[in-house]
Parts: sequence; C-alpha cells; structure tokens
Amino acid sequence: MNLYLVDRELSGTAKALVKADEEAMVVLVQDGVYVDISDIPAEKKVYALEEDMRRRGIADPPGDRLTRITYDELIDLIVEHRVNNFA
Amino acid sequence: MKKKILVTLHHPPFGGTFFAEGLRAAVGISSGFDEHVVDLLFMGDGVFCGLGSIDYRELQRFFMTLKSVKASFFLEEEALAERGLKPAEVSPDFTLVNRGQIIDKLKEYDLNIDY
Repeated sequence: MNLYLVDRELSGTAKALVKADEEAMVVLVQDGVYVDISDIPAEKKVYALEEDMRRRGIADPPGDRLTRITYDELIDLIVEHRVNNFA
Repeated sequence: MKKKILVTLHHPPFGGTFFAEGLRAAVGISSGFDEHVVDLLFMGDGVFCGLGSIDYRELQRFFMTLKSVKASFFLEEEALAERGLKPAEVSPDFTLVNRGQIIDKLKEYDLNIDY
C-alpha cells in the first residue's frame, strides 16, 4: 500500500493522486486534520493523528470515515508501507 | 548504500525558501559518497519553474549541478493545465508526466522527499 502523509497546504495535489491510486491510504497530519475528506473515495482508508486533532479541537467527521491514530501507530504505518510525503 | 530518491517541489520558484531549499537538498543528496540517484518532480505551483521564460539566474547553479549528475526533471501535466499554462511554454529540460505516471513513478523510488 502507498501511505500518503497529507498536510493541508499540499492536500489538493495529494488528494488528486489518492483518488487515482488504487493502493492509496491517507494519514492527515498537522493542519491536514482540517482537510475535507468527503471527496476521498469511501474505499480508501483515512487516518488522522489524534494529538493533532485534539490540539485543534477537531471532532471526528460523521460516520466511521476516519480512524484516529497515535504518533507511535503512525511510525508503524510508515515502516510498513511506502510513504508518499505531502506534509 | 546507493538509493534512488525523488525530490518533489510544490512551491513556486520565487517568493519563498521552500523551492531553493528543495533544490539545495537535491544537490546535497546527489553529491554524497553513496552517489544516490536523484530526480526532481515539480507539482502544483512548482510547475511554474518549468516555464522557459522565467529568470533562471538565481537557480542556474542548482540546475547545472543537477544536470551534471544526470538528474531528470519531471513536471505535473495537470498542474500546468490548471494554471492556464501550455506545454509549448515549458523548457525542453523538463518532461511532462500525468498523474497516472506520477503514481507509477512514486513506486520506482526508494524515497520521496517533498518541499
């Protein structure tokens, strides 16, 4: 799988690639937790760093669209997958 | 150990430090003992760098050095079109790639570093 690390500033380009990449999964980091994920296809797994969400007072979007992860879990994902950095 | 590294540049070539820092990093990566292979991919606002008409004087040393190590310069085709630019305006030093090709290309490299 291809792990896309996405911050807000580069999210437009990142999302365009994510939509076209059959093996894409997404982690929203830093201000990336502000990014609208409603246009990311439902079959794509989307994670967000819970610490970055907590600091910004961001609530989970409706439904079970997003999975919160810790920094330790992010490290595991980075080790396990190919990383495409947009953060 | 020799690695194949893709440096992606997302910012415009002037008005900030990201772009020059990305070029500086690419040169640094190419010049080490390991002789890594480095290529550059210009995406988003980074595609403005590909215009043949921009003033390259401040960037020339970076590009000359990168050319000397046979780095390739790829430019996102869709970003060019989204900004109202035409392929005919792009310098011949750059190769246009579409997003499908970029996804394949990202898999070719051991590491992707973005600026």
